[in-house]
Amino acid sequence: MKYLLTGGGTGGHVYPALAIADEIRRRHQDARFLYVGMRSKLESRIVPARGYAIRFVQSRPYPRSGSPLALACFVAYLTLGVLQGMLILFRYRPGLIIATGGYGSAPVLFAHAILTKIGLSRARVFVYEPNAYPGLLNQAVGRIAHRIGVAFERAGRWFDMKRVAVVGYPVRREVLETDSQQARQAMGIPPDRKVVLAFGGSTGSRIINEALVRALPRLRQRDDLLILHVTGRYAGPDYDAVRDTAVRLQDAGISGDTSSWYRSYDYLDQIEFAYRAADLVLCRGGAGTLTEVTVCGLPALIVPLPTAAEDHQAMNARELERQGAARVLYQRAYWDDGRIDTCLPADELADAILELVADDQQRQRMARRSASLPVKDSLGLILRELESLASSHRPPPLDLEYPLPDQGLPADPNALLRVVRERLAEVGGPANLEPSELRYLCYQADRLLVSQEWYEIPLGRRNVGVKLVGCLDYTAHLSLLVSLLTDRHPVSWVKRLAGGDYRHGGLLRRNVIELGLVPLGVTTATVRKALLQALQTDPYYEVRAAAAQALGSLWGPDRGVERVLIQALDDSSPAVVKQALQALGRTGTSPDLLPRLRRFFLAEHWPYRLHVVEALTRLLEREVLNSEDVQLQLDDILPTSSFFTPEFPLNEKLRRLAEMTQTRIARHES
Amino acid sequence: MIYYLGTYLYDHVAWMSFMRLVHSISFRAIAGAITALMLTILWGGRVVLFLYRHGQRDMPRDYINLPATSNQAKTYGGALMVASILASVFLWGKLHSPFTLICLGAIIWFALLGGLDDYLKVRHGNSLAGLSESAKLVLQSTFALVFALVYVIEGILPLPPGLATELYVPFLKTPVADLQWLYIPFVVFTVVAIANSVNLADGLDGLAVVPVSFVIGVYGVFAYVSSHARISEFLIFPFVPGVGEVVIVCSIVFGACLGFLWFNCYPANVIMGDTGSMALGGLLGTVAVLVKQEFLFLIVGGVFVGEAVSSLVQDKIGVRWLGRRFFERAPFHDHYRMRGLADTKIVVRVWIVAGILALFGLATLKIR
Repeated sequence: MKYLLTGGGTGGHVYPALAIADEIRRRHQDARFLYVGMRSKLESRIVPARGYAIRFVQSRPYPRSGSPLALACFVAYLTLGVLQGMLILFRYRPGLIIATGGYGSAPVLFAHAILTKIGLSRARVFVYEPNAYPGLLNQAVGRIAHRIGVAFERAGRWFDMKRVAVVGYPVRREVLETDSQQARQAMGIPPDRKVVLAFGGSTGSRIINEALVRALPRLRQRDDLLILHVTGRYAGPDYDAVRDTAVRLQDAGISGDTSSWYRSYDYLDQIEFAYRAADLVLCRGGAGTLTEVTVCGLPALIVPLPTAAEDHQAMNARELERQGAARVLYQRAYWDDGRIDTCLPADELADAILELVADDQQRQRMARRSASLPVKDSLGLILRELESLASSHRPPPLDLEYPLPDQGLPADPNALLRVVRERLAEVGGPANLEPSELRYLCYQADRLLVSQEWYEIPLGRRNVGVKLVGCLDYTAHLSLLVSLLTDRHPVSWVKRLAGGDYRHGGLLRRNVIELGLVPLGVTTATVRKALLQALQTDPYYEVRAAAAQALGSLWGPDRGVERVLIQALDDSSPAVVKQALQALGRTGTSPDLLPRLRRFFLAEHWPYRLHVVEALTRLLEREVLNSEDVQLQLDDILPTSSFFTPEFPLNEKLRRLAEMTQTRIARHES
Repeated sequence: MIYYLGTYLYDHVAWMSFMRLVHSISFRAIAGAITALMLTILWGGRVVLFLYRHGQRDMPRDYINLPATSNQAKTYGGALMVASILASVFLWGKLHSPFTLICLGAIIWFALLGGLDDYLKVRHGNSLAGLSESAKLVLQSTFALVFALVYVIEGILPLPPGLATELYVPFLKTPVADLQWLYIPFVVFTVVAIANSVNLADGLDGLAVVPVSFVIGVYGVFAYVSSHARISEFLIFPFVPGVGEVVIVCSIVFGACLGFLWFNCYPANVIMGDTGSMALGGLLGTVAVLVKQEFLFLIVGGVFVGEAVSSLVQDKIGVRWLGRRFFERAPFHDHYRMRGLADTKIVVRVWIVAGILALFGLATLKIR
């Protein structure tokens, strides 16, 4: 039998393919294999090392940005990849195609679909989906497959139910067969040490590496701790895992022989030893990693990758947290001199590690939970599926409750914001949310804030992040909001020429005030200073107007604020003057306001006069002005206006009738 | 129909020689306008009731801070206008003339397109649920492309040789350039741009319909000049035989616009919706190309150009690219609403501006 394996990009897609291939080779000596993947990706290194032949095709991920150029590029690469795939299929003529997802597997499958249509390929297709949320291309190739194996039940709902089987995640045999003492011996770890294994998946994780190094000084204070740190071998133009970690260690003053409490590896060939030796794991939330962690029955601290497709890592992680087997640590957005970057707060990490290391009972409870999670003999199930495919038997269809409840948040930021707002209205404010859910929703704000695009249609990313901070009462980001508001880094000169000003655009700054700072309702000195500065110096009128409104609504009578509001009456924009007048009406205290308002009495634009009248009413109500003074001035106010509100008596009466029927019905029902 | 009947009677019945009137373009134009006006007014009340009974109600867009002065007007009013135009053209037009057919094609295609948009909005009860921007552009361009091909390929339309691809601008007697095949994308751009600008302007009661009637009136005059051998010679315009049929269509549209205004004036009982604004816009674009006065639209249709430019600048450059607004709201009539002008005031002022621009446009007949 000839097998063709395909799938690529990250370890999550390559390792399952290799595990399946190993198992087939173990059972059938005569099996032949060919791997089809992408050059320059992980598979190009691992697959030949495992003794399988590999061929390369072109592919690209589906561009979610929706820009026509990216789409054209994607189509071009995919077309090329499909042609290459057809050539490979035609030469190799496999009996069974095993695809493990990732965009690397799409070309071969599409090529196979085309060849089948014209009767040139008879191969059977097995698609394996390792994630809880199938990628877009995997959803598409699911239609071509004869059989689909999913690791998580919830992934099944994206495919044709009749052809789906839940098979779990194939764990390498070595991981299952190693035991703890053997592992500690092999790695030379004394039995009394508590071992924390930290690693960021197959390519390594900058965030985890950096946070761990920053947390080390605090972790060092416990003398029964041993940290195994696998940095990963990632080396790109932006980040070199090994070198960067070494430099950071040097800076933190950690050098010399640290092997008694901290060991750093770039890569562990036998990660199963580390697993078995560990008492606690710090890792990303990919499906493969988490399955291996639970197979080994390890308590875990999970840092989900915020940029994972559809945020599936956070879903995986939260599922384990819900089961009590893990704790989720979310990445946070932070202000980095004009840009927003993301990190894992080192203190939070150190706290979590130290707490779990100190609390044996808690750790063991988590370990028991982790070990008790249902892990199937995944390879056995997959092999059974493959064999029945080869012999054209149909295995029984998946017995799933359909449709499965969807607990995930929508991927579109604006839809996400809507869902969050509905949820908040339902429970009555963020304070009533469960802590873990609140943390998850706040993490969504962090995730969106980091995005470069403030307003990428239809994804309003950073803008939505700001709104989420406001509606979730996420006060930890107050200073970040203030930084966004007061940042004075200019945009590129092209945009400035067209009317742009600062890197964080006008509407975003307005939303920072209107939908961020005002809902948070914090009245610290920094917020006050930022708002006053915005009102006085911001070049964009909506920001100044929002600042005036916020100052009026957040602060009571305040001399400094009042002085700036009076200055704002000279503003060139009517919107700002309007807000300043309203704010003065609400909070003004100085008795010489009346002469200052006088100049609007004959203003050409009637809205000025309207707001002055409103402000005078307010001031009179609050007894700042006295009635005689105001009365003397009333004749000076020009009453002509170019606006009126029409009245439709029929509509009005009809509405009242409708309301009446509504209340009667309600009363009748109760 | 009446054209054919009149011709037949004139040829065969001796005492009905007065029927040669139907060969007079000015007579048919005026009769057509009156017919369209009367049809619209007579049908109007019934159509309003019919539409309301069938649940076709307007979905006003929800503007923050803007008072909803809507009188729950019914959308699809454009269908009323389009039906009157079609009936009048059927009665008074020379139906076998390619010019008539092109104009009818434009009205029907764009009305169906706008009608589909309206239908989706009403069905989903959401003003954002209509056709997507790109779908609209593709469908508009499809018509414009077919039209451009028919126009440019010689022998389909009775145009003087070489005239089709020449580019005329106001204030100049002679064409400035012969665009050859580049004229096709130019036509597509013109038609699509004009159709969408009218669509954008249709935001307040009576705001779009009166400027449209001014513009179509001016274009009617230009078409009349081109169709008339002596006048065109006197004013030094290219003489295009047969383009007189465009005059008939223009005046019929003018009449239908006035008839529609009967119901659409503030406070409106019925609004034209995308059905009407697309049909009128698409027809305006087509007529502008047919009478070879594309650039004249920048003057006579200045109101529409302003609406379109303010809307594009606000959305594409301002909000999406720079993250700021240039106007308080766009298109500009909403800006003035935000600034505190009553709807009626804005509408009448826009009419005045449109009237002055129309006079400027007419002046270019002689000033060249």
